[in-house]
Amino acid sequence: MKKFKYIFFTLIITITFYVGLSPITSIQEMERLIQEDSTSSSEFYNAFELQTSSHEKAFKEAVLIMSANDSISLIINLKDSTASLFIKGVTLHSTKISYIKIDPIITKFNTHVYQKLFGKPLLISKQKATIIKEPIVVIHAPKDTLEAALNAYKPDTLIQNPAYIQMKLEHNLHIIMEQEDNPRLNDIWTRFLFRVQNSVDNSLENLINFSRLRKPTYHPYIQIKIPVDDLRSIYRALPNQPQVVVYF
Amino acid sequence: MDQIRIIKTVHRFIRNVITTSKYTYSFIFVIPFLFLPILIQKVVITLASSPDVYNVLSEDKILEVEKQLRLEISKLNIKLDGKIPKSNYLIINTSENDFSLYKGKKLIHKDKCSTGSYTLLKNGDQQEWMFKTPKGEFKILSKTTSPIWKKPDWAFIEVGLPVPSKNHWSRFEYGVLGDYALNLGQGYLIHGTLYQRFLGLPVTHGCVRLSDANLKLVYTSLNQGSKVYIY
Repeated sequence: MKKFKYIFFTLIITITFYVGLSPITSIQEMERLIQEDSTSSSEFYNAFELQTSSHEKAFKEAVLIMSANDSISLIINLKDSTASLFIKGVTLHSTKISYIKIDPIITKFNTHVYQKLFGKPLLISKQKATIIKEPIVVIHAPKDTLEAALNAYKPDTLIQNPAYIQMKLEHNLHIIMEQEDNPRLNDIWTRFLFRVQNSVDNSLENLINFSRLRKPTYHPYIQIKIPVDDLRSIYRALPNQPQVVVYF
Repeated sequence: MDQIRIIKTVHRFIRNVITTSKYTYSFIFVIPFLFLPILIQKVVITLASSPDVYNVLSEDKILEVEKQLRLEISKLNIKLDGKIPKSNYLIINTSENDFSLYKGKKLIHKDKCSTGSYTLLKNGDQQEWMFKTPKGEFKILSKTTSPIWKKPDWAFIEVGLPVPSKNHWSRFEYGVLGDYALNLGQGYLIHGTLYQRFLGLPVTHGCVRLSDANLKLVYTSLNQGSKVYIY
């Protein structure tokens, strides 16, 4: 029995350090990105004094690439504190970001990594939200005019659930978009469940990686808060696998 | 009520675990362990820095590169500005049911409209229609005054009436689309409505409904080929 106890605690400690050291995999991924890049011109952009201009250039280039895309995309401009919907060079909707939290690992990336990472649109591979994308109501055809009159569609302002969205991008990046106000208990509860679920998902992913003897996964994140109506508009406007440009 | 019940159950469980002397030690031991990976992650991130590929450039070189970068940025700005339509265009928000009329970057008018209701009408297992407004970039294909609505099959099915033949007189309805209609293609129109009280709500079969005054403004502002963006 004592032997099992030791094995159990050894396992717990191993998993703890396995998960704890997971940011190293993100750093390795960035190192790999730089090693793949053999262009000599990039050396100029690594000077600290040129950081602002080279970030801006990377942003504009990414937006220009994205403007060739036919579907609706997202621009998260943390310099201006705005989140915007964008299609073919036209800004469809823009909203002010009231709260920004960037994973320290992202801010530690130098300009070279920044350019490699954010100098082109990133593909959102997965979206998870507490609201549904298309609030479809199914109606069955009435048999006659009498039944139709009884079931006549009454427009309603719709029940609006609290909105919290997580988007999974390339290079394991996560964008977390939350409604800025939580006036009701239901909002706070939904946010709590949403965050717990994200933590559980990340932990499970790492446990699976551990059991398969793979490297741990770390998800650098950008968390923003915007008004709930804008958040719903943005989420419902975006297609299933949209592109996003991030600028900071 | 469910939330309160869950909170009470969790509270009871934690209280039982803590008060049972057998588990007290384990519980105290496990709690910090849950936060240990996060703590280690924070330490790793603090210690880590991105690969060192910085080059030391002279002040003159920095100024030269900065100038070059500014030039490239202004070229990119010109390219991006060139993407914005010069003539009037319309942006429709289907979540908020409002529209904005723009000329270049300038907002000319913003008001309520009505868009698709997201209703799925099912007629047995054979037929179904989804009443939603499509999203993306569209063009005005044609403009008409005093449009006549040729009712499709679903217009009869949803009110429990038998579907008439293709060109039966009962399919043609006058006045219900308002004074003007702008064709977006695939059967979708921007038109007027008799149900002005529903403006601002998602009630249509996929078309975009405007008030009489707004319809007139949009009709006169947009030409054939003008862009309409729906999101």
